[in-house]
Amino acid sequence: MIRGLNLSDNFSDQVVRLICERQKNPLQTAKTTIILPTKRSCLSVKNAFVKISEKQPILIPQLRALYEMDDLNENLPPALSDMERLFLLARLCQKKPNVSSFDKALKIAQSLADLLDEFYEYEVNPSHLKSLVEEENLAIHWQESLAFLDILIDVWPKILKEKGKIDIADRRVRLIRQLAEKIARSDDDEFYILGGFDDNSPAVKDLIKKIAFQKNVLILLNGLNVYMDKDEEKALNENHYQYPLYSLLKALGKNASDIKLLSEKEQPQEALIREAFKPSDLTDEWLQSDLTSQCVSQVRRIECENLAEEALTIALIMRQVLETPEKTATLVTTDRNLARRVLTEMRRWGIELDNSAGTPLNNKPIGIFLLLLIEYALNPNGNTALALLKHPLSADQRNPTDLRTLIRSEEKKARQEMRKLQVTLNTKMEYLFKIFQSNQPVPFLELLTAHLKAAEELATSTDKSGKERLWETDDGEEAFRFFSELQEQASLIESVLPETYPQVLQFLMHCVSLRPKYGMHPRLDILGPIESRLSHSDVCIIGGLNEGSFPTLPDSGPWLSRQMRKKMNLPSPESVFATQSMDFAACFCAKEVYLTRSLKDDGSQTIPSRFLSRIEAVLSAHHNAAFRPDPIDWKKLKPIISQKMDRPLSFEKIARPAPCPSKELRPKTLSVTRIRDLMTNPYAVYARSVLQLKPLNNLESFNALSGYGSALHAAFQEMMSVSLPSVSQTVQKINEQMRLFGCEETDLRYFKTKIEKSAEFFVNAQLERKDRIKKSMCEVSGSWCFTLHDGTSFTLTGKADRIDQMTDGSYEIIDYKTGSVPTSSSVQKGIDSQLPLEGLILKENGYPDYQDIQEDIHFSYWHINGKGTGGEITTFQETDKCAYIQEAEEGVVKLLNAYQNDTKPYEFRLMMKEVKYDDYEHLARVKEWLTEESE
Amino acid sequence: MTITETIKQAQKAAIETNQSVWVAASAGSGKTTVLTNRVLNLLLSETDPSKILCLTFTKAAAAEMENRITNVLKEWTAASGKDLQHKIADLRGFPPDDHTLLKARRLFTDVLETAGGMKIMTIHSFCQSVLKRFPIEAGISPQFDVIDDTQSETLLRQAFNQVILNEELAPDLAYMSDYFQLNNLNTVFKIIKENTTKFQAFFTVYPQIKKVENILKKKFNLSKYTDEKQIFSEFFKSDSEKAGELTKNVFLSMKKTYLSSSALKNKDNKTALLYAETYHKYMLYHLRSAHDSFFEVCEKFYGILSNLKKRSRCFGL
Repeated sequence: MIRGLNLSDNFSDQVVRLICERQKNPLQTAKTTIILPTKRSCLSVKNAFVKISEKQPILIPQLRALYEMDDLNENLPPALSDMERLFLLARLCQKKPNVSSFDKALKIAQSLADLLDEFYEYEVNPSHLKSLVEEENLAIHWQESLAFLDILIDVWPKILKEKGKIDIADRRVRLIRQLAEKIARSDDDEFYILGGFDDNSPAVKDLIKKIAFQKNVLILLNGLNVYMDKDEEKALNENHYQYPLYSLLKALGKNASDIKLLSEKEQPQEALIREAFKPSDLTDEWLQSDLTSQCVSQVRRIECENLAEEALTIALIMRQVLETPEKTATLVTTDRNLARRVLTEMRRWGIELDNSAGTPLNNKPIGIFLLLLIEYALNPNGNTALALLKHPLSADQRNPTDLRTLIRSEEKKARQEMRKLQVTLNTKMEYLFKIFQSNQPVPFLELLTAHLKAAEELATSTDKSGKERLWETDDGEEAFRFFSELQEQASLIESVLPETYPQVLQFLMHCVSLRPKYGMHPRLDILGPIESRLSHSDVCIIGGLNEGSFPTLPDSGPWLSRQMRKKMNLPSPESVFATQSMDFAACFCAKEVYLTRSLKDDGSQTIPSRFLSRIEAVLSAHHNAAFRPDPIDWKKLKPIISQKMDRPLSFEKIARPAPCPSKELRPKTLSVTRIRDLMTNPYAVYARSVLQLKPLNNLESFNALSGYGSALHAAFQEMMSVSLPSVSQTVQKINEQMRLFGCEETDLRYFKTKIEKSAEFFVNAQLERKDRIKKSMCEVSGSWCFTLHDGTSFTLTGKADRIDQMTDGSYEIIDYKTGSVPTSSSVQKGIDSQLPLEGLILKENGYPDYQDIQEDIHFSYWHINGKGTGGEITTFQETDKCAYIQEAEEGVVKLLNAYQNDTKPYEFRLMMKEVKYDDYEHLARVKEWLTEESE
Repeated sequence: MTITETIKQAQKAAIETNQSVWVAASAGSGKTTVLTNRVLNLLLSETDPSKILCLTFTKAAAAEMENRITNVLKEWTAASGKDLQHKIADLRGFPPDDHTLLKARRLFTDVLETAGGMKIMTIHSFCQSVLKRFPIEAGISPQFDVIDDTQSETLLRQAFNQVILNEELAPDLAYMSDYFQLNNLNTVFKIIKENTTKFQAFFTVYPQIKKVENILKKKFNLSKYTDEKQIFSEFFKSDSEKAGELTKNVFLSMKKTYLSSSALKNKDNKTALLYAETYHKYMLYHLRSAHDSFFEVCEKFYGILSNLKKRSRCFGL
């Protein structure tokens, strides 16, 4: 018996009603088997039974998923697991030219596996390919493809035979055929209901053909359009949503108009669907069709600017649904990004949803953790270390919260601190680094074992073992299953370079989709179109209605051309539109429907879904029918809500900052370098010395140049003690120091010439002045205390790179510069007063090692640029006795006195030329007020 | 004839399907409309939609084209008989017959149902689709991905680290280390990689630039500037009126130099003038692109330009 169902029919409820009406005897129900496509569709029928049971125990029919009958294994060889098959195929691919790395081979293998599955589903013999290429005299490049496809034609069947196993897809087809036999032989008191099939594979077709007319069998055809006329039926093509059903009926020798519907009641949208999805040859009749305004009275269409807006709109609709008791809603979308965004938006109201379409293992916390660990093992640096250690699964023998607090505080410290932390981590997991840092191919299993061992170790906390923390959760169990199988099959993989390991792993993990086990919302759901089949809810939101998303566009794959597919009796690539339009049609006929799409995705304009376009085209031909204006204007509501929730009620405009802390809070000690800040940008002094905010080091973009600079200073200091320094010695010292300051070997190589020239310069300068120096010291710290006008004492500190006391009694304060050197004018103007101020400290006997200063003090910049002769010495001779120092003293006292005043603001000043970089520009919110000021 | 009429006529001519057409027009003057109309005309003339390929430079332009075409076809489906007749007559310049009218109504769904669909794509996506279709032939994985910026930076860094340890490159590195910090080098390479053709153009023109530099110096009182950067900046940054004058003058003086050049001695003046004009256009074009790449994109690298020519091998040019 064959019955049709309307698009809007609630499949599960209809089945339950049917069984309750016809089967008064519960034992009869127990002998009934319902066969549906997937486990998920079985679940919704089961839930429907539970719903009517009113908490009384009932007998429900057996439910079987046709495509997932793993439990049936009647005399069939066992199936090869997906992973094993993939690895075996990849190994074969690896032998082909141009496919050297395993990760590349894996991807090709996957696409071969997909083709193979298609061959099984449509029961095509791969060897047919060979004759096809020969017969058709196809272009030479097909020969090349064929040379690859011989894996499927010749090699694969042999391998299967050796293993004594068959492919899952093959097994599935054989099981369906066995099932057909079984039902055909069944007793009359066994009852079978089959429903929800929309594919046209020969096995399913034959199954239905064989049993359709048996008394104890009921075939339900979902969404069958029984109103098509002869013309329309003739014009049907593979794109059409009714094509699979009609070709099935044709095979049964039945007309659609002869099929009785289970219920006549239908949603008004169904007439619209029948009209909109008419084959192209009949669409000129759209103008004449008699649609009423009723047909879209339950449908709203919302166009959003972008994905974020669409997600919030959908979330609002779902939230609104919850206001009505018992009401249910489903979002149907293929767009995982949209689904994820909706989940996030729903958390605004503390509503936790889960995407029933599943999340790939590599996007789950455990997957991310494992990949981060490898990322670090391959590329150990500050960033990868932070990313790994901040992951909630990291514990490192501590309480995870403690570890996180620790990492956060370490993060604030310098790169060197981070390095220390890394070093401890690295010694603990030495085996991991040893294996992942080798540039040799390593057996995959070794990599995997080291990886998992390290992961378990790192995850171990004070009270729980790593094993427990990693694998004893829902996701963890799935992950464990995955890794166990991987361990089992890893021997199939030849040795790989460590750097390909994460790519292989990522690829494999991506193939594993984790679906939530529990915690799903009882009334709200997010489903993919396939999951949405046979499920039913009051409100259906079809999201992401753009081309490429819904429908997804056909991908014919690299192996067969359109003509070849046709010759091999495979469906055309466009047949995917038939199933997708059926899914769309079913969703569209819910009681209450929202259609949403984004005008832009990732910044580029989108193209509306062909389904939506068709509906709109039909509607525009009927002026009396248009989408119903929603009583709630979602688009208007959205900005209001997002403003209320996401934005402050008002914005306070800020002006150029000029903070005026009280005298007590102002600094009583400043170094000579800060005096420059105080002159050029006082705000920087305020931020650093009053607010005590110091810039954090950037972990990743290590500045090799500054490392080089610091290394030079340190190396020169060390070389001072050598009486006759040689160039090679100096070079060696600089290299040593650079390593200590965190430079890599590549940095050393890059600076090689610079280092050599600088060393040469230093040695020459040393030798030249050696005989004139009486005493020379490096990194000399000193300070000068004086009293400000209000009686407060102030300390000026200064660390000189080097102070030379000459044999003639004069002094020279030397500053090593690897970057640019201050111009003489900026020194004279007092902007670069660092050296004169150090001179002032020296003169005031502020450097303990140099006391009782009588003679002249000179200043010089040693500009070690590594060019030409390696550097240049610029000396500022005191022409007038201590004129620079005197001026600097007057200037600094005046300046500091001026700031010893409650009303003197620390202004933010932009002095483009003098301020080369400014750490506090963001803190001062320069961009906010700068434009306003200039207007 | 008014300007609008002239334009309309030109636009009509451009959608004739029996000829190949080159359309060059300024922004906003209706190039996309012409393209759209041409596609519509092709469709009305019974061209199989799957045999039409439209390539554009940007995703936005491709989407815009596709949406425009779909919208027109949607309108045709729903238009009243008279209305449709008008619309098509307006598009093609002659009234449609009954068959064409029927065709026009069905085009919307015809295009949707075409196997393989009508192809409106960017050049990049077209090339990608070809590679996806023939990966074995191209020697790449069938499921290849296009590399993203972060990945490419990592790879570049790895490659750089390998290269830097090559002893042969030591002098080049020494030279570069004067100008760039190591961690900036990736950016430098990226800019150079993205502007390879411009850089190559620059190197071709570079010897000529020296000549122009002298002309500029002499003719436009730019002698006060000593380095070429300043001279060219002055030349290109001058306001439009001055730039016009400069261009004219530069042309005149170049013509002179060119006429007197020994290579042209045997040719008559007219040909030489033609050469000079072409040369001038060529020069200006290349100067502009050199200007674009150097004075705007990487102004800060200018200091090393003259030496960069020698060092170009370290950038793989």
